[in-house]
This record gives sequence, structure tokens and C-alpha cells, in this order.
Amino acid sequence: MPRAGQRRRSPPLPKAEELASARRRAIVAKGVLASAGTCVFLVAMVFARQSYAGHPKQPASALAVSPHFVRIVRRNLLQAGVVAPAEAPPGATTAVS
Amino acid sequence: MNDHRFVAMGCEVLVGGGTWAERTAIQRLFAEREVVFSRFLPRSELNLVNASAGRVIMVSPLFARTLRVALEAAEETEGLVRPTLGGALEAAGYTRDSSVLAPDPTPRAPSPRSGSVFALGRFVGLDTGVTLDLNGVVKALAVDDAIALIAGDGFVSAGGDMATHGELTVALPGSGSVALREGALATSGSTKRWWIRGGSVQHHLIDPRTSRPAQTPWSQVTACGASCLAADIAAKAGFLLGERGPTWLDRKGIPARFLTADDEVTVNAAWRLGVGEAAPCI
Repeated sequence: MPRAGQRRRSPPLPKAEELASARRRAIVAKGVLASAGTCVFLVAMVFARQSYAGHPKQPASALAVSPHFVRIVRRNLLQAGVVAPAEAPPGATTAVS
Repeated sequence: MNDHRFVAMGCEVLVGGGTWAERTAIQRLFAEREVVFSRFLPRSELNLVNASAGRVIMVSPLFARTLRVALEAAEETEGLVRPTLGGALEAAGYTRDSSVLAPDPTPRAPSPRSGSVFALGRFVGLDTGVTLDLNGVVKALAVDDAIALIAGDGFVSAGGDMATHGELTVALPGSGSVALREGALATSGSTKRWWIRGGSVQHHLIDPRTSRPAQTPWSQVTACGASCLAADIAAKAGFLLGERGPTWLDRKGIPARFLTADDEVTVNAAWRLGVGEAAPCI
């Protein structure tokens, strides 16, 4: 412990090699932090795309009727109308034309 | 209800109801269809397409749509109502309007060989020797398109093939009448378009199994479909199938009424379910 009134002596200046080493460590640390941040951002974005309902998960394609449905509708080309006993005088005639 | 009558496609068209503008649009629609699909107009698109057999050509959207419907009808009827029988019709002597065909002592020409139709979008190709006749579906499609032009209650009848908005009482071939509540009624038969060729009676309903006018116990078949197209196809198929017609149409759920040359009426189960027995209603 320095005694009262004694002038405090500053620590010895670091050597140039120690300064260079500290700068390298700082650069590496900054790089690691930036890379980690980028990775976290990208991973979060991918998770968001996969889990959030508003994001398309596959490339968007135009809406179209499925071929199966088209086949069924086509098969139903011959659909029946409705006839009932006549209750009024005829307004028209059906005949061979 | 205001009636409007005009002649198109070789028959009288009757429009009931509708505004003046709607009736005018319907008359124009029929005129346009006749120009495109008539077999008797040399410059009709149908005849131009038939003249291009052996090549792939581009047709109008209306022609492409109608051909697609005709091919679907062929699929639906197991090939009975098909659009490739134009050659058989000509072989039977149907080369002009049947009302002006004089008896022809020449024997019936041999039936042309069968062939196929290529249709992809607006591109159409016919095998060499194949002649299209789309009149099996053209008139019914025109009636369906015409009734769609009427906003309120009304009906369109083209020579007896009719569709309606609102209930309509319709007189039936032979006797009796029926209430058409929904959809359309069409009648097919051999009593109007017939002629004599080679000493025997010919008519326009060709049986694709023989490529000759169909031999059937029925003179007229009336069917009720959700659309005039469905009714017309069903009536033709019922006519061509002969005695199997009522059962076949029952399998499809189509009400149908069959009339023989002796005015005997047969109805299928679907018709009986809606209307009752074959006895005249009024």
C-alpha cells in the first residue's frame, strides 16, 4: 500500500507487442460477435418463415381446379331438370325440330 | 308474357319474356351461331374446318368451345352422340335442308371410314376423311346461352328445345303436357328431318355403330335436363339406344318420355317419379 503523501506511481506502459495482441483479440472478438449476430438473425428469419402463417412456405402458384374435380364435373354433364304434373294450359310446345 | 318469334337454324325460335334488348340479343346470337355452324353455308366455319381435314388449324373461341362440349357429350354418352358423323349424314343424302330434299333414287353412298379429332385449346385437327357435324349440340347450346341473356322470368324455345327461368307448362308430342319447373326440355326424333334416298326413308339421327340412320322403336324422345344441352343429348341418346333408352336414362337420373310411331307413350322411372304415369296430364 502506498503511504499518504507518497506519489502514486502509474503502471508501466504495455509493450508494443501486448498492444498489438490486444488489438488482434478485439478484432477477433468483434468478428465473432458480428458473425454470431448475423447467424442468429438468419436462423430467426428462417424460423419465422417456417412458423409464421403469413409467410409462403412454398413458391406461390396460381389457384386451379384439381383435375380430379374437373373429371367428376364432366361426368355430370347429363344432369336432370325437374318436371311435375301440369297445372296450367301449355305456354310452349316441345317437339322434334 | 311478350312473345318474340324468328326463324334460325332451320326452325322457329320463340322467346317468351325478356326486354326488347334481350330479345334482340338472342336473335343476334342465333344468327351468329348459324353463320358459324351451318352445314349448308359454304363459307361457314364448320365447312372451312371440314375442308381442312388432315391438317391442324386454329379455330375461333366459339368453335373450340362447341367442339369441346361435343366431345364431352360423346364421352358422356359412350360415343352415341358424337360430332364426327357429318360424313355419314352426307352418305345418307342429307346435303341440303331436309324440307327441300327431293326423293333421290340413287342408292345410299357407302359410309365413310371413321377417324378421330384432335382438339387442344383453339387448335383442331381432323383425320383425313372425317367430317364434323356439330348440330347435335349447337342448337341446345344456343338455347342455354340465350336463356342466360334473360334476366327475369322467361323462356327460349328453338324448334321445341327449350329452357326456362320460372315454371312453364309445355305441351308434349302426341298429347298431354307437363310443368317444367327447372332446367330444360328437348325432343329428338325422326318425324321432321327425313327424306327418301335409294327407295328407303332416311333421317338425321345417325347410329354411330352402323353409320346409318338409327333403327329404333321410338319416333320422338323427350328428355328433361338441367340445361338444354343435357336434355338434348339425353333425348338423342335415348332415341339411338332404342329399347334400352329408358333404362339407360334412368341410370343417369334423367326423366324421359318415349313416343312410338303409333302414338304409344312410354315413360321411364325418373319421369314417372316427377309427373306420374304416361296418361295425359291435361
